[in-house]
Amino acid sequence: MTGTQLLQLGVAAACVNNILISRMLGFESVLETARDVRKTAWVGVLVAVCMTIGGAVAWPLDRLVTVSLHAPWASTLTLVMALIGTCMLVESALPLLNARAHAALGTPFRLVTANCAILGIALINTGVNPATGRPFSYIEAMVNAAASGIGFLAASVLIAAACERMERSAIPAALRGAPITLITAGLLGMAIAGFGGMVVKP
Amino acid sequence: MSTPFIEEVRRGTVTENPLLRLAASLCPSMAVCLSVGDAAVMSAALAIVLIGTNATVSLVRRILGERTRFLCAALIAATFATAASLLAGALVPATASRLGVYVPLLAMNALVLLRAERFALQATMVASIVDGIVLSAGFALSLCAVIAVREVAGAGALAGVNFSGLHAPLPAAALPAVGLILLGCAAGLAQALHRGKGAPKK
Repeated sequence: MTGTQLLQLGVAAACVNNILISRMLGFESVLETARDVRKTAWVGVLVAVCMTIGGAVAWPLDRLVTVSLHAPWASTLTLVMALIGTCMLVESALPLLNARAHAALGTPFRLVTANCAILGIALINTGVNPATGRPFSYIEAMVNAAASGIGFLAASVLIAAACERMERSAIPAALRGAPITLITAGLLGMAIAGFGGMVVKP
Repeated sequence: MSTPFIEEVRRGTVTENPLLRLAASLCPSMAVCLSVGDAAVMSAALAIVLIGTNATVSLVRRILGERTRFLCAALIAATFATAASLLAGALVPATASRLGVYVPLLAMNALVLLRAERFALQATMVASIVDGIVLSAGFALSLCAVIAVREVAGAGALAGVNFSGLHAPLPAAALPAVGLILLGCAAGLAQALHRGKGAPKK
């Protein structure tokens, strides 16, 4: 892949095929933290870091298992093991690296490790790249994972900011909480769908 | 069946903020399911993963340590997700290829991991299986209801049968963003009904 194609892949992963809004993965953490922008932003940063490191670890392991050991059925198991290991390492390193993030999040176990967006990108990276029609190469997989992480961070902060502002508005009681968060995300998704013509859709 | 057990099932399905959890676990499926057929396959796959994970986790609950139990629960869920994915690929190959990574992704589904942690780790095997059946039925009903609305609006058809004679009344309903808005409306409706039944009003 040329540099332009890699850039296109990155833009597609961050905007058009946004992991949160277009693929709808990782909503469990956004629904929980949506009324707190700071917390959402820290969770987004952690998810982006775990996604990038996890993507870098999971791709070679998956190739080892599916191609070298001829065991494609073990792919999901391998990915889950690699990603949970990565997330646990990142989470235990968090108090040492950034005390403020640790204070804001406490133990972000349920929000980050149990986030299906991280496994989602790793699974997508084991498949076929729609832009080339071939399996993802290591560089492509890394660009896809990092750009999706940035896309997750951006989208979750946008949704949280909108929801934090709406806390002070008169929302019908039935829509308060999760429903209005989902509807806000849907409206944001319609805006993002406008980028659809720019890049190759899967 | 003892009373605490029935109380626990009730808590999981009705009283303990099921809306947020159910909405979070429905989100990934809303991205790919466009017809009631897709939704049925997805629900069946979730039933396999949820019931299997609940049963296995409650079997091995005594030998799981505090620090490793999440990893073990996730690996058990990944095993059943692999089984569900292979089964779907063998029985309904066309639907399975359309659902793509979303079937193996059930390994990290919010509902599966939550029930493994909150219920199966404390309960007997029979109770865990019943809990799995109750929650899978709840998931299947809510997913099929929302997807039926989406299919009627998007394709003028129900379960692949076009009854309206229209080609596509509202093509946008197939967009993921509109799926999110539909899910938000459904969650709002559920919240309104829940509040009407004497739930604590805030």
